[in-house]
Amino acid sequence: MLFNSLSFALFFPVVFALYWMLNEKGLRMQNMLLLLASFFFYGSWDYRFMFLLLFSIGLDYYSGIRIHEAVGRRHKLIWLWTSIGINLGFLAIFKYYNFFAQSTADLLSLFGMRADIALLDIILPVGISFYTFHGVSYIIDIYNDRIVPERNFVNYAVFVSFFPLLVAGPIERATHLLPQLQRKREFSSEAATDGLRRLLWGLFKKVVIADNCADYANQIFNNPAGQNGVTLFMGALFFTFQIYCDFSGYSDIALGTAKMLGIDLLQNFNYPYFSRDIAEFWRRWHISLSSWFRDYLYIPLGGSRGSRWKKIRNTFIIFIVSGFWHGANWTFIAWGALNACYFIPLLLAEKNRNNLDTVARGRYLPNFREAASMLLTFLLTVLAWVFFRAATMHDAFTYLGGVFTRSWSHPPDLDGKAAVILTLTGLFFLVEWIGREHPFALHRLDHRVRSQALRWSIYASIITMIILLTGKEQQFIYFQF
Amino acid sequence: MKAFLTRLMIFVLATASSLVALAYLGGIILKYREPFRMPEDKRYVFLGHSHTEYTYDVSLMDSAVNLGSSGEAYLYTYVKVAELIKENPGRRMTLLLEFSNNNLGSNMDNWTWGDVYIQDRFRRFHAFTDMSERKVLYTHNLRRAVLTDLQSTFYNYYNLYKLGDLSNPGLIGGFDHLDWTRVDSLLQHPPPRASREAYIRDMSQVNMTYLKKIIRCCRDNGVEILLIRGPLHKAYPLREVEDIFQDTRKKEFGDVEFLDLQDFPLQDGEFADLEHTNGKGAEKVSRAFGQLLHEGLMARNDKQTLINEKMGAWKAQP
Repeated sequence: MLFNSLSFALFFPVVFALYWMLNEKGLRMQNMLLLLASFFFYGSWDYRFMFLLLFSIGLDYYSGIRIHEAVGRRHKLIWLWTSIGINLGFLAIFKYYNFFAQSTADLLSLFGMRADIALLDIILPVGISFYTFHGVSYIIDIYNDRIVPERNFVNYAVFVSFFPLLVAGPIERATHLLPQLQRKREFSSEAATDGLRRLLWGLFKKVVIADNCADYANQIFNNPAGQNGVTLFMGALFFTFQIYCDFSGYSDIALGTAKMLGIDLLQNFNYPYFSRDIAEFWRRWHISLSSWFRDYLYIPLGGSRGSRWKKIRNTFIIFIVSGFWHGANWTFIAWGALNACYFIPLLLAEKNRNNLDTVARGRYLPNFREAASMLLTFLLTVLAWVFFRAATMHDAFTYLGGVFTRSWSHPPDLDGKAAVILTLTGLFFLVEWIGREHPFALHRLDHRVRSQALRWSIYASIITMIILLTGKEQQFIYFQF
Repeated sequence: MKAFLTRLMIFVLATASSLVALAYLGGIILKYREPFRMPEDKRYVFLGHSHTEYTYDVSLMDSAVNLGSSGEAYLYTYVKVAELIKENPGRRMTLLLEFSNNNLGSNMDNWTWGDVYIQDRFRRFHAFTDMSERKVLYTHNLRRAVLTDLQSTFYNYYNLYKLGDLSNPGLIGGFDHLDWTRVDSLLQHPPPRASREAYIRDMSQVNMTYLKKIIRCCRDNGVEILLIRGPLHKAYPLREVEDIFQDTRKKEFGDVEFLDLQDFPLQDGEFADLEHTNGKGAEKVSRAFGQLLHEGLMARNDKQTLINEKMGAWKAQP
């Protein structure tokens, strides 16, 4: 069930209505409804993987209690590593087995050896990367005494399987979400309205910008031969817009949906394309994942303490693992490594925490230096996205080679609609720029635009554009991770 | 909660009403323009898909218009025919509707309710599409049909300029010519053979249903309709199912006169590919057919006999 589908449009109002009707009946019934709704939502993808999800939930629920009650560090560690091992083991099998098997075979063939390694013919369970990380962070937080285990199975199950975030995040923390599930929610008209605004904005990003940019990105990436340098660059640009609007659009829909249910989820994007350097970009892009890796991998490795060599090593590990998390392909590893190469100079020069506030705060326009920094950072990310999008390393290098070596003297080979989409994307980023100091561009619009008629016209215009410009239906990119 | 739901309902109703009103207004204006009004001097109307579009150059014929359009399934032809009849009550018209081997093929289903086709055709003729046709589209491709229905509220205004009229048909259809030929390369690398079993098994029921609807609509309104098949290269794969095509034609549409130009003598260089004529071929066919019309083809009871007699003369022409 996609967020931008008719079935979700029927599913959510029913859940919303039942949820708030049950509010007076008690928290237990409300959470039970969320659990049933979440499993129904997940089951609509593939009912078989519901059992895997249930197993993962059960494993971490039980492990959390055992860790908390264990006497002695050794017993705690056993339960910790058992849980982590099984969770990551499933992830490794479903997501990475074929990659390692094929890579081993390729490596052996380089030395003239032949290896007939059997590959698995299995489907990647939707959302496995996300709910696995929910569980692992919960277990580690209990081990580190940051939280006590949740004894109520339903509450814990909702934490892992909450349908707005189940298939593509944000990757929530138990310290943030569990307390909200443990206390009564009060309906707030203001929150529900803001949630609906965020949902609408997310839908616009996904359906109007991302899906339409995807058409052109796919066209160009699937047929790069014979395209001139400008067209290839445009393809990379379209993908840059697509991936941001696709993923942040999904996050907005998830956050908006949750907000309408009285639950706040972690902000996952904070206008990353307005970043002034790569360090800032990584504080603003897929925040829940990068903070997860920071807290559960980077800091335990020593973080940015220690020798120069250790800092470089830890940075590479984090970015490569982050890339690898996205998919079992060398291109994702290359993408991660390239971002590490961007980041390390800033780290070593101790400039990685230079730009902590919003660019041009309180001003309409950035100054020249800020604009130049944003442009440079943006171009570096466009370059890196080529690796993310390409099917193989060879394709990525060929594509980039084409961008830099083929002709730029002719206009891009695109139809008239491309200009419309680019104009719309430009206007979209203008709106985002105006709203950059808020969690999302339309946040609390009632405070910024006083006239209800004008606000309703804005919403109606967005809905009209969604209707008019719904492109070919595209899967959310992050569902494949 | 009550206040929130009330405001939401008011907003939804207001927006939906505005969209519906806009849709109706656009459709009303479009229908008022009467884009299917026949020019006074025209009588014959060619209809169908790309075979029609690329074959009949009506500038070389007296009294004819070509409303053929590539990729058009009979559901959309029916919409055109129904509107044509509605806007020209009592007019003497003869419809020449393409009926070729591929009109029974399974791809006609996709041409009817495939994403790309709904988005293009339903959007073009939205203002003229009745509920029964919408029901077919909603049943087979709900998402795309609903989206296109909503999108058409605005596209009807675009159609006011682009749809054209029968003197300059624009998006309605019309003759177009192909300037190339790929017959040589197709003969060297021929397309796969047609599967007789698949042809029978996957015959497009919806296309046959709408062909019957077109015929019934014409007869109920006193409009003459003939089925016509344009020239096809002798290597055209679907010639292999000619017997099945003919059996089906005789069984389902045997009471409709069929003009068969399949074997019209054309050189390889006068075909664009194995099923479409190019500009040169279209000129030859159109002049010949125009001459036939001039010689009173339509007054004859045995039209195909005259066509067959003329084949010899056409063969002799350079």
